[in-house]
Amino acid sequence: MPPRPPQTSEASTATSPTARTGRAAARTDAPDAATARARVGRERRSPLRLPSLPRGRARRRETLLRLACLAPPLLLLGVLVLYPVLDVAWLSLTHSSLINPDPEFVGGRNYAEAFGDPQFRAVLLNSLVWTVVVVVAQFVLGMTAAVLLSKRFRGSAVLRVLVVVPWIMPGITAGLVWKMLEDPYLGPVNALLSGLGLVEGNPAWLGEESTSLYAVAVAAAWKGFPMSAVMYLAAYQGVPEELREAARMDGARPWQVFRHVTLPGMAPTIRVTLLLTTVWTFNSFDLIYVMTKGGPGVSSEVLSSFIYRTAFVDVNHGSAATYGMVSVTVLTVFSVFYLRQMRHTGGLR
Amino acid sequence: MRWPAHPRWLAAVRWRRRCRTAATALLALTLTAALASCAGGDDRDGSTLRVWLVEANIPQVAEGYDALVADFERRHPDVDVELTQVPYQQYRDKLVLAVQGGAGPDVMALDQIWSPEFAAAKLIEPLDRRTQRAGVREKDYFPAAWASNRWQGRIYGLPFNVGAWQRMFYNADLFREAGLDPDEPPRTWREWKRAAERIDKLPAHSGISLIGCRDEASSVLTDSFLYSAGGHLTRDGRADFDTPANRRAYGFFQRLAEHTPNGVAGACAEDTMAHFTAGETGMLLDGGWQSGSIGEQVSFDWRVTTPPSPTGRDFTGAMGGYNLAVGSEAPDKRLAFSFARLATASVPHQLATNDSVPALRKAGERFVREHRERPEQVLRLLETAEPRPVSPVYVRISRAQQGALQSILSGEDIGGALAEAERSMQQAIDRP
Repeated sequence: MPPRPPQTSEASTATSPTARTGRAAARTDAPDAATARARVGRERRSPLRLPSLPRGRARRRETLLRLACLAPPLLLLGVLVLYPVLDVAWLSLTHSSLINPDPEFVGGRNYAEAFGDPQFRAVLLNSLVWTVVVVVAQFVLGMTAAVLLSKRFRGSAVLRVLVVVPWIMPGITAGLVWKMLEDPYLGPVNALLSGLGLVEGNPAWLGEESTSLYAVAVAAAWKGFPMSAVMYLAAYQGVPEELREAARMDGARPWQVFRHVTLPGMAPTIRVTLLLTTVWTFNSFDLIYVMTKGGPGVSSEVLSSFIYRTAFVDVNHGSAATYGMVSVTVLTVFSVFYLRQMRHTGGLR
Repeated sequence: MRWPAHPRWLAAVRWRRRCRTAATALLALTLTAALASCAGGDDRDGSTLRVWLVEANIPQVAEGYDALVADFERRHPDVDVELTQVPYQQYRDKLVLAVQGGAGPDVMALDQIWSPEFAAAKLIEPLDRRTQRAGVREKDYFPAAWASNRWQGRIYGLPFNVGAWQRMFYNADLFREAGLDPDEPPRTWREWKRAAERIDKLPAHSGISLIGCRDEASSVLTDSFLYSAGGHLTRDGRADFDTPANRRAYGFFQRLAEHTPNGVAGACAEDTMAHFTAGETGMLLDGGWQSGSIGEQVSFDWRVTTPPSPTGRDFTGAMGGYNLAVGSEAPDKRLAFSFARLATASVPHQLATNDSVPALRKAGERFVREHRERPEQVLRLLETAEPRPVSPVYVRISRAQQGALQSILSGEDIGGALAEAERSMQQAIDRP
């Protein structure tokens, strides 16, 4: 029997939560402990850890090697991410346009103008409402679809393929389809709602300030929910059936099984999916552009469509960069806050 | 032979090999980036002429483009024409990015409303001397099309095609049903309002379809109301929007909008067209080029006429269309101008490369007589139409105008909306 490698402090850290969080955590942490052991084994076999080399020189060489390996990705990140962000940050402090392409430094004037403009504030609020409504709707629809698709029934495989169709449909096409569906006179939505006795007359969902944003949000939820459904379906199927069975045996009702067994098991996927859909929704505007062009007034304008219009139609680089920085800041703050919350509360439990 | 386990020299060799691999990877990365940036550089000579046109909607126009290119290459055997067709929806975005990146075309189609902006940005070449030398005459083109190229006293392009906003399409069956005579369509604003009211009273029908959404189409549509009432947007390079004539025009538009389908503030051209062709609305305002499309889609009796005007005044339309301009970075501007001239001054090429009215008067007249209902009305409209404000900040002026319309349609005070828009327009003019 080969000698067992001595347990390192890293390995003990990896296994320590097992005792605290019970069987489920033990299952999750087991691979980590194995990984840690494997790492120790690899490090022991590494030529750079040879006893024949002086210890300090070997460490220096290893550090250099690590830096050399890190350099290409760091270079790429610098060129592809850091430089553009810094450039946009600089542009946001300038004024330039197609007519005056040389940036003129204006300090914080673009920011002062943006936040002093009631239209921009309305757009910012719209963006938040739009994101929350669409993300929540996609979560609910996606989770419902995932639970339904996890059941075995005749045609379930075909249904799983069909459910992805909205997601692969180009945004422009989806926008045109939904615009037609929601037409006050020719669309089937009003016909259906009238048939159910829910509306009277021919409400123009896209043509009224009070409803336009929500009318587009319906289309966005429809277009985006398949991605959530696929993610949740995979996560749902990753939760062992034995756990659900055990809970049922203990007398848990279906909702309790879902709430206390399935949902916690899906928590990591839910967190990632919510974060992704939030970022995508906040940045998306193709449906809005096709369905309402941001109107009536600015009732359905969101930050991304506002940026597009300012950058490409008005060709006002400074203001567009300012709105872009606001957008990046909002998303960064949200992401950090969200991740910290999740880490603090330990997921959805 | 058996190697001793991990000798020092072997570790050193491995270390050197790893370093070399890392260095090679870095070098390759740097070289790739450098080569990629070199590939984007402009190393053209005058033997290739790059032309950008709006993508042909129909195969006949695409064939017309090919014939134009072939004819030009026949006349200039040592020149290759590289024609790029860009879909209309993406044209401005791509063009702006290309010219800003120094990779703009030598000859480009420009919407009339963009010409002054590109001229002010020095992205296109003034053509006064070349047009004079080549004998290109203003009177050979429809007046508003020529005027759209003139900025600060200089000419920056040659008119390629035109379209006058707008024509009034009406459903003769609904006219009859409402007790109106389809052979005597409304001529004045008063009669117009009355006709819209009567059709609106028919069950499940609306009087008229109007474009009200935040789009250039609503600007150019309301321009014709303003021009017909004697109004305007700018005067002598300054915003002049809150005027009695404009208030009258927008006041009438607001009253007429009472007879539109619900949601006029969100109605774009495709919505108004859908409502009209479905037989839902009695009248439609749109460009004359929609005749063919309407004819194909509807089964009811429909007619087209000049829209009504205020009592005692004639209807004045707003001009649209494209010009051809020469890029200021073109390596051989003489050659680029020759192409633009061939495309805009030759009757056969003007007819073959356009599915809208050619801007060259001779070709345009022939096209209208062959393809348009009531050609005399259309030709008169083209002669009297006015260009939209010829300003380098037109896009922002138009945005302010759209904002005013949205406010007016939501029931806000007309004077207040026009005054606010005038301020925004002036701000755009002062800080281009």
